[in-house]
Amino acid sequence: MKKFLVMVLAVLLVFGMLTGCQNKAEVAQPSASETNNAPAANSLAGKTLTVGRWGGNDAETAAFKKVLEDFTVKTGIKVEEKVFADYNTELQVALVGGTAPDVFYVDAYMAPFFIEQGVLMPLDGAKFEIDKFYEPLKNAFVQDGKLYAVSKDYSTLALYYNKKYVNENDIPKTLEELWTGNFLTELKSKLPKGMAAMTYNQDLARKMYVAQAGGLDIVKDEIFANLTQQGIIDNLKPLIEAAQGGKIVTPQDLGSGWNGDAFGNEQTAMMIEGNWVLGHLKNNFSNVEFGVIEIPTYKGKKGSMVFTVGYGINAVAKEKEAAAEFIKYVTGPVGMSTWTTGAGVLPSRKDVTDATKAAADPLKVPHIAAAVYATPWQKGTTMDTINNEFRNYIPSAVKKERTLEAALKLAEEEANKTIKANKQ
Amino acid sequence: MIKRKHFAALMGWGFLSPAILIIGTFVFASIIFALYISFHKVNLFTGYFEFIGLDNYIRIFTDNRTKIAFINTATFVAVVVPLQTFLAMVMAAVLNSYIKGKNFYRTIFFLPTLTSSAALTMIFMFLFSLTGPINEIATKLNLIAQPINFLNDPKFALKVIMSMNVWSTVPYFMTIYLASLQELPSSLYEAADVDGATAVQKFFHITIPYLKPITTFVLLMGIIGTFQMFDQAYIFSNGSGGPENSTLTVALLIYRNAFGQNNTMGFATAMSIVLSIVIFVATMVAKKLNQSESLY
Amino acid sequence: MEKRNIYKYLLYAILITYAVVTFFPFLWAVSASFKTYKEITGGGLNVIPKAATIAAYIRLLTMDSNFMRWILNSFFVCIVGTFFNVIFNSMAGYALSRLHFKGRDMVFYAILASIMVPAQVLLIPNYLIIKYFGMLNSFRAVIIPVAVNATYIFMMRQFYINFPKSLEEAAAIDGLNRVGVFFRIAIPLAKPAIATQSVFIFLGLWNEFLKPKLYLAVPQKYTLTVGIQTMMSQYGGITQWDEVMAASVISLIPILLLYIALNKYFMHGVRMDGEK
Repeated sequence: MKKFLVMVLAVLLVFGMLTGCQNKAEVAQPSASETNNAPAANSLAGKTLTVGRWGGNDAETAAFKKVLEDFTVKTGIKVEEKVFADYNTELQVALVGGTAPDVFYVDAYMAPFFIEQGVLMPLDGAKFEIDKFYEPLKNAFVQDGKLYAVSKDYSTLALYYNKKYVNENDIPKTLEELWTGNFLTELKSKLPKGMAAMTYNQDLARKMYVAQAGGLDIVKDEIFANLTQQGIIDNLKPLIEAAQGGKIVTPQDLGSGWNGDAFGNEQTAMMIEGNWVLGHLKNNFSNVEFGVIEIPTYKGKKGSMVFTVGYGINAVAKEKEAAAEFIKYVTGPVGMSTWTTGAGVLPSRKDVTDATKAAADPLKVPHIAAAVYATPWQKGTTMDTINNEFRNYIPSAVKKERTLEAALKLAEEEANKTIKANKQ
Repeated sequence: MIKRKHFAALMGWGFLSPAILIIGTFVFASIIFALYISFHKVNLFTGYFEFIGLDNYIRIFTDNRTKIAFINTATFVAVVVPLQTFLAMVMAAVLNSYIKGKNFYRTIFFLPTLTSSAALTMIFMFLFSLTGPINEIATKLNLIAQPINFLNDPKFALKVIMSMNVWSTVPYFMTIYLASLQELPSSLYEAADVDGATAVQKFFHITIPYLKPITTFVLLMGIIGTFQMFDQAYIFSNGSGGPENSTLTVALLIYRNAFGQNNTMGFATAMSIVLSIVIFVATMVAKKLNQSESLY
Repeated sequence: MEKRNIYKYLLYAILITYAVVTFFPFLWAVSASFKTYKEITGGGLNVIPKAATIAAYIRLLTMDSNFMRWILNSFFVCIVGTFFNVIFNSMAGYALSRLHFKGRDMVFYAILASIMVPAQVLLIPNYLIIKYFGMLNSFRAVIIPVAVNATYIFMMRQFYINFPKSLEEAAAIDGLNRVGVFFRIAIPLAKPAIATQSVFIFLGLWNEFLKPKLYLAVPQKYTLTVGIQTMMSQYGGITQWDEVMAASVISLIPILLLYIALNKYFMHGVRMDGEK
């Protein structure tokens, strides 16, 4: 019995310790924000703002911290960071719990969903000089004429080739020729054994511009999949036939996680990738000499995908004015210059692109060029379902177990069934 | 006598009180909330609740994808649970026998439990890739004519995950079996030795019956764990459950409906409740089967 | 004698095959933490790195000034959490198997049912409850809700079922009351089970990621797993495999140490029939 009492005592003690920890933390916070008598004669000075973002590489983290410091010096507004590791789950839980940050990253892909849920505050575009942004990047966050987030940077797809094996001038000028012609077959015969000529992804995120070439739309009636329209099938056909013939393979076929690794390990000579791969190749595969060009035209037009992330304000933010002030600074000429040059990403504003001479880097030029014509990776609130079914059934077409028409038909039917049930 | 009975009840509830308090507050309260959600169409962001009765449940039984997910999951359970239980028991018995370097083997066998599932998935994806070692060895031995695309073939994808799951769970259950075998009175084996029993006879007539309560634990936890399998399918298929829904598990479907773009939390919770009931029934059947002597 | 030898060889054959199968991927993962990113993703199965480097470890250890803090937090959470669990789970497991009272089986099935509901849908309700109790951003949030564990209550119950009744009865006659029986006999006798439980609970708490990440808002409060995962995560981006492997090696060290420390309890349970 004595032993039992000792145990109970020990338990109580530890509980006490835990409670003690908590109290200290609670006391610490207000005192920290009160000590601020900021120099700036700004009515918002001394306020504390929380900003939610996700992690990045070392350069990105350093650049972000620098921007925060500059902002605090300029305005006297303090910023607390919240770094998401599992963005979708964490942000959604925090939004439901009412503990989400005042300002947070909004992925263009998720923007329609967040807008529909009413968790983003509409913004005044003029305040953020929104007309200085590239058109596709601005539009990615506009719904019913209202702006909901401001793009912070972007990535586009371009074609990468290994200089050791590929001569830039030999690369076909159109995707039709690349996929149906002999270039890839001939290239493969010259490569070391086991090395592929080119890798590709079975994902609409990389293929939407191809599917929609000629002004088509893979979504009909705003939410439903429209994969079986003849034009869309025809658009995808050359690509799928190239895959069927083994001219292009997926990185997974090569035992690799993604294009960047397959290319870096010289398992493939060419790939279509986003500019995030630039830093990756530089850091991890410095010995590979490569060049970057714009994606060959398709149906006579240039095409690519653009991925962007913006800053949005939580509809129930405590510090709405400070939040707007923050976005104005980080997406303004100064903040965006610091961020994009430090992190090595592309500025969403045309004036910052010019001012920072981002186009001086030949590896970035094809990516910047695509900013004007690329298709944003975003399509309403049902893209997740549609893309999921697309990824589900495309492999069977590539393996010739089904025709492309049949695979797309299945994908469309399944997607639309789910969408219909979800909307009920 | 009466006093003793009362004391047992008092002590029983006393000993259970921390468990009841904590599980009641943090798990059962959540389950009740989930149950409530499952009868509604909800938007948790705006706090919108609309009572729709059994609609979410009806959808489970009419939805083709849900059916596929349940079939995949049930197949997964049916293959993995017997395998992992059997292997864990055999390995524990082997380790518990009179062999040299017992401690060494035991530590080695324990190590997979410590390998992170991300690292594990990467290794398996590489092992089973088109140009990976498994295909290479199999073609060299003339077992297959053409390399098989294990990861992208609906016929194989789930099997790869099964093997991965067995590989990583056997050591866990083996460790638990082994702990129980420590308490097996060695006089039982000695008596059998006197009767001239072989190692296999001893395994079937002493070890297995003795381990029965632990086997109940292993079976039930195996069933619960495999029915809720999520991580490996998620990493493996990049969240899609493909190719052709072959790696679509119920838990994956629940996650996709609860988070992401769909906002069909009501449907997700209804599916969770149904899954829990399925698990409950399956575990009770397994428990019954394990307790009936006819199995051995 | 012949037959005995065959058994023996068979036994060792099984042991060695299984050891290779289990050990290899583990060894590969450890060795990968000393490889360059290029070598890991290049797909070699070699266990000895071509150009061994500790760059990934250095990057991890220096990536955040809170790193030491995270380690301390992890130890605090895991030690306190494991301590509660071992006591509470053993008590509950004992009550569910050795004490006879009305309502016992109902409680058992309820506890069992609590682990049958998939965690994904409990995430938001859990979060709201933690918030309601004002526990957000405190260690209480990552200890109290997991201070008992249904799985190990169940496991302890199954272990205690196997205990012979005679010893307990003999002890009770000797004048020990039943609470005393639990602490002086039932707990010491279950050493292998408790050691096993401790290792797995510690391991589980150490690797717990999503919930602590949700509940602990400030980096100073992160546990090691949360800290490392957060620093390494890049949305939709690139998995830096060398760092992932190094992180998994770092996080397995304490568990391996614990495992070795508890080693003697795993194999040398007190025999219940009085023999050594």
